[in-house]
Amino acid sequence: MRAENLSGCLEKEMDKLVLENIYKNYGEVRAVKNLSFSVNDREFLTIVGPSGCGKSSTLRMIAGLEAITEGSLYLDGKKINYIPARDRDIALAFESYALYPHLTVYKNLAFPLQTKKMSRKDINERVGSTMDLLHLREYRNAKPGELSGGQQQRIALGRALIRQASIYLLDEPLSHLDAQERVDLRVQLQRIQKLNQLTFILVTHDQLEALAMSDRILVMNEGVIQQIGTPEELYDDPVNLFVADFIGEPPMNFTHGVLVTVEECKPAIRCENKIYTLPEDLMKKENLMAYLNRKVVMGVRPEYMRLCKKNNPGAIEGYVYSYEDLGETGYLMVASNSEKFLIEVKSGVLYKIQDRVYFCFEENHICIFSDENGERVV
Amino acid sequence: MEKKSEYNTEGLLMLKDVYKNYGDVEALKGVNFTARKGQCLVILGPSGAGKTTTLKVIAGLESVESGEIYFKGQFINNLEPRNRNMAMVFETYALYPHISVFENLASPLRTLKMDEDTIKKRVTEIATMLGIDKFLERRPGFLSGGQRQRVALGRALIKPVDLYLMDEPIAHLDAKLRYQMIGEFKHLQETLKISILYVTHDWREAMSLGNEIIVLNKGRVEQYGEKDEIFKLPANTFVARMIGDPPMNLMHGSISERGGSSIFKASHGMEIDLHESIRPGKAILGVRSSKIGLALPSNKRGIDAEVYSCGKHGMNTVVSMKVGEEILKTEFKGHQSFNIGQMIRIYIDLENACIFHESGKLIRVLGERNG
Repeated sequence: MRAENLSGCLEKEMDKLVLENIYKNYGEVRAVKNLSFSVNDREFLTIVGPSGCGKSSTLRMIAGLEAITEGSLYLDGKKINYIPARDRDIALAFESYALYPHLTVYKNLAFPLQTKKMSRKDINERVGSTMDLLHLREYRNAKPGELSGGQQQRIALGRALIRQASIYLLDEPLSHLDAQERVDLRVQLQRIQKLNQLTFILVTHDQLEALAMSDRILVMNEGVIQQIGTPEELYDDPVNLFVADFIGEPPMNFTHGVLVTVEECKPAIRCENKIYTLPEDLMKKENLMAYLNRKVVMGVRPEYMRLCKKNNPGAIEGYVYSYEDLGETGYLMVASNSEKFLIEVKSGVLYKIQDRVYFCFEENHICIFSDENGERVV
Repeated sequence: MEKKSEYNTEGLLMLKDVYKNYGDVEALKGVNFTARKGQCLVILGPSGAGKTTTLKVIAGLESVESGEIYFKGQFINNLEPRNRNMAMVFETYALYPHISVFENLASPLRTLKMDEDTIKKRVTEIATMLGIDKFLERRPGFLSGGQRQRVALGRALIKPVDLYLMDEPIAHLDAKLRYQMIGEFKHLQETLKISILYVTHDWREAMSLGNEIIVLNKGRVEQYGEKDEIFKLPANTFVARMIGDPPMNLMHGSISERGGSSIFKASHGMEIDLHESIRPGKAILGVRSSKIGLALPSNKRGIDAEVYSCGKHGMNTVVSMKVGEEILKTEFKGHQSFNIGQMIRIYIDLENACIFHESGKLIRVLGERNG
């Protein structure tokens, strides 16, 4: 029932938070450039990008911890540029924990509730359930200094989530946890957000984490928004080379070549002494013709490539460079010209280095980018 | 059995009952294994397992409490590290920025006082193999990231020794470079047939690079075998959960007899016919995530599950679900969408499912004749 409610709300697309042409300068350094996007009510939005891309600055401006150089910020329809951090209805969990060192875990968690004048019984209940969610119950009487980085991070996260706020900002909340804890807490974070119908903005450098939890993902690089969309959109339809390369693991295969036509106008990419033929209907797209005889980059994910027979149309010859067998699937690295392609294959076949193989691309999943500016052509 | 005799002839390195203490802490508690010539043997384990200690003891950087170490048939417990003819490789990406690729590759050989002609020959050889022979005169700053990686790898492996000891050599690289590096690494190891003992906490690296794998936990060898064996016949639940992502699903319950076939009854009431006869008693059923799928409505043996969380992993959809009190995790192919709390029907394919004793020890792999 809850699920139905949820999707109903998303369709209404009520904007919870709106950023309009936001800039952030630190002296000469322009950290965030002309950033505009909105966050829907009850949405889990993740901002992802490499270090220095401006993602944390963005979050800190929303929180009110950094002044906005230029642009407008709206929360629940109200402009909040000049409202101090403590008066914004926002809960924060930042990478630097900022816990009270002299208080126990329990009291650290209870603190935000006591300032709200909640009854002792209610506080006890809420702190208890938060400790359970974040596996903190056994440390309830410990002080932060006695705990590991991962445990302290969970307390900081708990202290943000225990509050009632209009929006929750989480900056790398899982960065100090070990691999197993991280996977476990991804699940818990998503459940907390969905079951309580909260609005989350989470910042991370880890694209796997973003794909695993989010409703939508915003990719940033060098202070500029690259793409915003659902995990599926970013994975299958990246708008430029940066997004294509940043999202996905193992990474997308890229080949540099020149766009040409072969045998009666069939589009193809010439790359050293090989010709990669492209699906004919791509030719109908005007955009592609504009790139004829120009340098392009072709990108195909390892899952969208497969081995085939020599006489298969479009089969490309290569030889086995190396093979990793992971038990159920395997990754075959195939050398063709001076390029290497990673191809996902089923486990259980023995491949020998230098074996000759033929491979092809799943036509609907070929991305072509301009070599000059990295923009997606088709 | 056949394997044993093979070890005796091809054994390069052998550890017999090796113990190592740091004060009161027992770091190694009777470690036994044999590494073969020309192979990559991987030690896989979580932090604190004793992986690095094992390498240090072999390199001679730490002494052992008790036990014996043999290298090329020689007892080496008391041999100086520099006389062991091994190289310890820590990280494979440190290059000198101010000298050429050639000099970067040559410098480990220069310390060996090798003559110029031999150095040149060896550098050319390894550079050709890695496809960096065209860049020998360039400085690292003028190479692409991938090319630099190959130079670094070449540098790590250029010194001719009988055994390379590698401690998480690529753990600090970003995920994408790691994929490239694993491919390059494997290519080089198989082409040169060098002997490597490789330590990692990452199961992917272990499965990719290892001919054989040692799973180490708290100073003890949990299992030692060919990688296929480690994957298909895990000795216990620890090994089973160590390899694979999402890890193997474990369901607690008991086995009982019904009409000549054994039934696994999970603690929450779900019953599964195992179609094999297994001794009744408490047991754990282990199923890899790939063996859980969405059941068609016509499937009468479908199991009801409640979606617990749902996310993306590449082109797949990762779903955790609640069956009774157990949470199972699986990956469905393609982009799918489920809401938390939604009820779905799943099936469990028992091919290669593992039955463990309640202590965690493997009893049987379903469908295996001699398991």
